[in-house]
Amino acid sequence: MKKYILKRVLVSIATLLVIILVLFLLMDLMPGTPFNDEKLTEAQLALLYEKYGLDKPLIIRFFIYLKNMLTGDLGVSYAINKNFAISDMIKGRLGISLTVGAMAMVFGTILGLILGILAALNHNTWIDNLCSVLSVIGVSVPSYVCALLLCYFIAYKLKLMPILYNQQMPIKSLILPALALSVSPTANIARFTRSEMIDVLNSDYIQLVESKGVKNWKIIIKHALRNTLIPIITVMGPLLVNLLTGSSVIERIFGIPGIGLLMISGIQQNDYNVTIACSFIYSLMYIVTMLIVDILYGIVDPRIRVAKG
Amino acid sequence: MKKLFTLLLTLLFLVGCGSGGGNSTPTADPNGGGNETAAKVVTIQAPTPLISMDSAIATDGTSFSALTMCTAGLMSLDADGNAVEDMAESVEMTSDGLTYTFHIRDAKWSNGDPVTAYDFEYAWNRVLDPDTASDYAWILETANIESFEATDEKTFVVKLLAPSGFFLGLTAFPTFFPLNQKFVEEKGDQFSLSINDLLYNGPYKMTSWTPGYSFEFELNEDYWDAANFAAKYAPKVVFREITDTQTALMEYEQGNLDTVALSGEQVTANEGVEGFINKLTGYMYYLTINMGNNVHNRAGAADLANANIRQAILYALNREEIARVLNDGSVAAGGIVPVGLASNPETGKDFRDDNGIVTAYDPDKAAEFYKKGVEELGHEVVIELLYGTDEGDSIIKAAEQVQSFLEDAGFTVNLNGKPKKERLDLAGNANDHDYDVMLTRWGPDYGDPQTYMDLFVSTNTSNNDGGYKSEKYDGLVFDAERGEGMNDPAKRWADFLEAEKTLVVEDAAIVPVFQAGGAMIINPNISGIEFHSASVDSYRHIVVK
Amino acid sequence: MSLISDHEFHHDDFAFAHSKDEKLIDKNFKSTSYLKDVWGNFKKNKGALVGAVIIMIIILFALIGPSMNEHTYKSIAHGHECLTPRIPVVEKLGFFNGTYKGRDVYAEKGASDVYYWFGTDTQGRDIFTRVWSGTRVSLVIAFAAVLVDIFIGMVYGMVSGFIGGRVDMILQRIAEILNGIPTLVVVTLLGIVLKPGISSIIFALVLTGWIGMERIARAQVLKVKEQEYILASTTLGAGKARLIFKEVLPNIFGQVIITSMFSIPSAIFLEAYLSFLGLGVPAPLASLGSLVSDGYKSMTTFPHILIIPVVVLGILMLCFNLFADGLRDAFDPKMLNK
Repeated sequence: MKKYILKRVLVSIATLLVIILVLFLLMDLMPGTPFNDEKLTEAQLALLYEKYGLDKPLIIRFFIYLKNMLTGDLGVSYAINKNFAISDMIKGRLGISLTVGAMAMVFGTILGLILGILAALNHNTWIDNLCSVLSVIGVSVPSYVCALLLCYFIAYKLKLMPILYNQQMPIKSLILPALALSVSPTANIARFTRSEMIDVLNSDYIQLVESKGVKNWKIIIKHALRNTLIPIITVMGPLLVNLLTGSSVIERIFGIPGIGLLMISGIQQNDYNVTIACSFIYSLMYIVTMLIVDILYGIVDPRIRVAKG
Repeated sequence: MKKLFTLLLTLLFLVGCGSGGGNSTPTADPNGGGNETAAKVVTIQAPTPLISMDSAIATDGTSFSALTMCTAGLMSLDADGNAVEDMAESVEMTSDGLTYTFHIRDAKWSNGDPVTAYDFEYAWNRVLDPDTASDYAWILETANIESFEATDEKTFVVKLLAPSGFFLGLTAFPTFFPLNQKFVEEKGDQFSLSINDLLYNGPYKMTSWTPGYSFEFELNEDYWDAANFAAKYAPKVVFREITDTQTALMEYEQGNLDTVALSGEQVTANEGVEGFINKLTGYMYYLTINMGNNVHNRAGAADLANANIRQAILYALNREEIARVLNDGSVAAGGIVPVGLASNPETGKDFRDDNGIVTAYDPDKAAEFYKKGVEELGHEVVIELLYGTDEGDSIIKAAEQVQSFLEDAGFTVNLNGKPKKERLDLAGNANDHDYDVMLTRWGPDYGDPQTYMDLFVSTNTSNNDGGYKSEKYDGLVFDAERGEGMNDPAKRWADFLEAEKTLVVEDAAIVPVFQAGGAMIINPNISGIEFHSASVDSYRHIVVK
Repeated sequence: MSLISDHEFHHDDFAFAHSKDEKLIDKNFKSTSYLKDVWGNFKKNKGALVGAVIIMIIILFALIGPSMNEHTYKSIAHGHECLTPRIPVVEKLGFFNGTYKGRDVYAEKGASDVYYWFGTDTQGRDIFTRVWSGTRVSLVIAFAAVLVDIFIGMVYGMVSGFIGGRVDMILQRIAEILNGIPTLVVVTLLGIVLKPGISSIIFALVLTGWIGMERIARAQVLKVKEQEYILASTTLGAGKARLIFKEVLPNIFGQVIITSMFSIPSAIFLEAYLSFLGLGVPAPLASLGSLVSDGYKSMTTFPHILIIPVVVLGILMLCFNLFADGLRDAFDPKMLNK
């Protein structure tokens, strides 16, 4: 197991390096420059290029970037917060985004599991149908519509929650955004839990346990849930990363200074360094999540661990 | 099994708490605690983020407004946009109007250093320094500044190439703000990046700045006019960056914001609300027509070289209707120079009133011109309309409206939406002006028609993307700025009036569409926000009832 | 003992079970093909049938809806902005009667003789026409994306999971690199580099969309491949290709179908997201996603502009899910006898 983990970590680092290179190439393909503005003259544009070293060939810029990156220097922003060190810009924002993402994931997992298990246990009854309809609504209504509905009814009409993000009460003011974000993971997890659970409940070993007279809930917890969890963990990893990507719209609506919004601005304003840095952080999170998922796999299902040595 | 669950949950919670929530203190009551002071704190919605607090680097409205809060230039603008003394105690102008002598008053930076004439000299030189790479370096040239010099600590002398009616007002523009050389050099790369890396000499001090979230100002007791400000104006002004118009409106209605910008969709329901205003900004949106550049590769651009086809575009647009659909306070463009930008030096009449509405909607004429053009060309005209997709909903709507009106006149129009940076890149020299017609905008930098007229002279390769070349137009603009107009404001004015007609009516090289508005609601309990369409909006003089 | 010994056997006590020409085939159950089985099972599921029928109806509307009145998706009726839905006959019942906050907006705008069945948007375009042409665009995008998901993702995932070892390692790293770059960056970049249009959106979705399916397929294969029947099949000399497609595929198909049905909303949403960033279908063309993100701006003032596309989107999703559920049960060999 240890050897397997070590190997996975090394490969992940190599993957990350390739990703940075690809990101760099992509940014180079991006038309336009970070400095385009109606009011800039040609001469000034050239000056700006020189100042930020953008006049150098791509490959040289790549190695300079890599070298700086190892020292924690992610460059400066060209357009969003001019001349700000990107590492500083990200530091403050990453925590907030991760908090929203994690809260949404917790909400989503709990609600999703409950809905899914309920539906599976009451397969083909009205409860099952209700759970299905709920989760379908969850995937069919865009998160920004949910967000605005929550805002309008819970915060604006009932005044139970703050409308916008508030630095003074970060957790409380992040509940609504997290709920809005959790709608789609809830639905996804509920669907998977239900279908996996039905499969498992119909399997021979559960029927055997049942025939031995074990009480219903014990079957679920001890046997069914464990086997249901494998595919759910598979979807949870990507869901978490998707949450962080999808959060930019939510961040916009609730006025949250998060990293999702930063990345979108970076792309739109051609702020290369910001885009690369934010993308890199997403890649890092993604790779780490995948790593954890793979390791968790081994824990929940010993067969995989054995197979992988 | 339990272990696994605990593991999962702890993992999620660790991520959650370790990252941002950990240092929160939910015990403090943020709502109730500050009721007393909350009454005096003014919270302004900033719909666009604060980008830079470096006066040489800043280029956007929010940054300019923030700089104006906490920095004082030689002059500042009063509510009507007239220049009044700020750091300058008095100004003398020589009779030829070419030399200005500013006498700096006794004032202090927030670190205790005195504000001197050298601070201005340093700041202006810094703007011109290629190492600074200031986007606004050109504005010194536009202002006709020949030279500037601090003759001693208290005296700052500026020499102009030609008399300029707008020079004094321009010194209230953030690019001309003073900087403390010692401080800037000491901070180096860090200068202006946080509240500790800034010095203030204005009426307010920046007391908090969280990029992407908010920035706050409190009265500066070291300001020269501090006593007056403390007696009259809001002690604390908070700017909150909120992009989404709907949650912003809810926040306003709950009393957490004192101003809110409205989108066109929200205006209908809020028009009657107390505090609703339709302010007019200086931004002029117009169609720039590619009539001389890249015509070999672009069939559309080649067709647009035909004068009749361009005239068809000019008459095809129902600007009143477009402004009505936008519904955000925008008005139909009467010409390329916006309403309220500049007034006749003799009569005081607004440029727009003097020149009248040079754009007219006449669908029959448009169709006729189109028919004539098509006959000359021998084929129907297909053009591509380039517009920005990240510049607000109004622009997308306006593009769709323009398309609809042009198609009514007979054109086939394809929309090509791009993010702003790329739109400008496509239309610029880098891509050899790869467009047919572009919906673009220009915001004035000073209250004079010149800020628009300079754009379309044939020598301006940076802005004249369409390659408009007219001897008549060039001649008129030259005469106004460098010829007879230099010493004769009336002639200068007349030249500009004529130049606009040439550009828009005779040649239809530029087709003005609308002047952007800004519908908003301001809390009836506050007053004194000053909107300057040709300069920076000022939040210095907010009075709380 | 005694009982038996007491009994006497006669020669006619026993008879041959298969007398004369009688054959061993059970006549009651004719051999049916796999697909017939599936169809038989599917038919029994009422929800799935309803879902399939409504999908058909929506597709029908997407085809003919845009030409059911005189408006086109881009024709602007100047002066008729933000009208609420008004349907002849139904209006007499007190709803869909073109009122806004109790006022007759049609009369106010001088449009008393016009009927916009779903109302108009903020520019005076007919929502009915735009919703159905938007549905058409979204369906094209979604179907294309899902087809690619299934073909690329499933095959890739199954090969990777089944062969395992070094091949799995390499294939997974490639997928990880592709997936490690945020979808948004790739999609936005393609949106900017390629000419705006439906085909470039499909291409962008294709480039990143298959990876999710690939992971599901791989996970399912990992689960299935250890089971006894695969071992049995291997023992009997089945080749890898046969194992993958004949033995493994039917057993993971249910999960794959469900996942692909989830790809439909995510494809539509990703497109909506692109529209939100101005990189979706080029204006004035509409998609369900762009209609929703447009309507969002009027949600608190003219909610009908948002509600109508959301409802169509919701019904479409619900039906796809019911349909997918039915398919899943029908495809699943374990469900056959239930």
